[in-house]
Amino acid sequence: MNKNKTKKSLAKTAIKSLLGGLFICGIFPKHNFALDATFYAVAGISAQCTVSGSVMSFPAYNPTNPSDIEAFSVLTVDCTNGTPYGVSIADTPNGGSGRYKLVLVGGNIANASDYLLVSFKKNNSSGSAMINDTAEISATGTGSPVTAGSIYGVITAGQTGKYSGTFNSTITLNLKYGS
Amino acid sequence: MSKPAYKISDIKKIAFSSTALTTLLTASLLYNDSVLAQTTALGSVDVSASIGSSCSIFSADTMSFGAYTGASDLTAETRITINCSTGVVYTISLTDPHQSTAPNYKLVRIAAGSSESTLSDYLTIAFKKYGSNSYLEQTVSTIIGTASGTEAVAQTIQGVIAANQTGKTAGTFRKTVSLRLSY
Repeated sequence: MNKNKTKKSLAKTAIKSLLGGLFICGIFPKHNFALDATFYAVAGISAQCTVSGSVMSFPAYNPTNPSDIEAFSVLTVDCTNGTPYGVSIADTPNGGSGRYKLVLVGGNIANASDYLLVSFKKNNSSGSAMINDTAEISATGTGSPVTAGSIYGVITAGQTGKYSGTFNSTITLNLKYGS
Repeated sequence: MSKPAYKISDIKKIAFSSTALTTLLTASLLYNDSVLAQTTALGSVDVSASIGSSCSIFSADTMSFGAYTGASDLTAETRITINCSTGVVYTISLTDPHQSTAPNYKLVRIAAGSSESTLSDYLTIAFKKYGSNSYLEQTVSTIIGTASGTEAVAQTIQGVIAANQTGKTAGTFRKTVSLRLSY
């Protein structure tokens, strides 16, 4: 038994030595070589923003009613995530004292009977007056459309001598964004 | 014309001269015999040369995308250049582990605090052999070729950033992609 074991052991050792020698001599060459490299993959996302406002729809105005009438426009802003922005009214007031004219459809903006005066504030009646790019409604974009805030509008009571009809105006908003 | 007449003394002189010349020639021949006695062995020398298969250049240029808006898939390419011995069969594979489910990787926004774990900080990207519809996966040797022996573009890899990845923060997104050339 011991002799057989010794023989087997010797045989294994011999085979190992032989194989080792073959490898050292390069008879079994290594076929797999490798080189490594890298490259950059680069993309950019530019800050982008859009804004829209819902129609500011006032109830019917009654010149004999002593109360102001109010309405809101809800602003929806869609800015790239992380992008700070601010929304303001770009137009210069055309009605004096920080007010704008809603003009009778088909009327003449120069005639007092053809317009109603409206003023705008940030968010609510106690907000800052929104004129000429002041009092921005600001926040930071999330990457999806969100309600940024509201513009509060008020038509003060006591505006008499107006024609009946529909009065409107398109107000231009200014959206500033980016760092 | 009659033959010249020789005297006895003249004949003796000729005889001595002939004997001396014969002796000299014999000595010379004996000397030459000793040269011919040297042994000559024939042998041979094997002369061979080989050119091992090798690759000296392996590089890829930047895969530069335009601005991503999310409105549609955005693609860009990188050309892989190699210089391997003529006839060398090679494979090219991506070695980076996927950062989400295969075959996707992430371009991560370059900014302090940015993280590949934060949805708004990365864009998902996948790579494929240009003109192919199947995407490359880590260590899968999809690109196989035979070298021409000169520096050449081995393959073009196209990156695809899928559309509609929303909620991302503005900025520059980047990834260093590792390749391996095996031959």
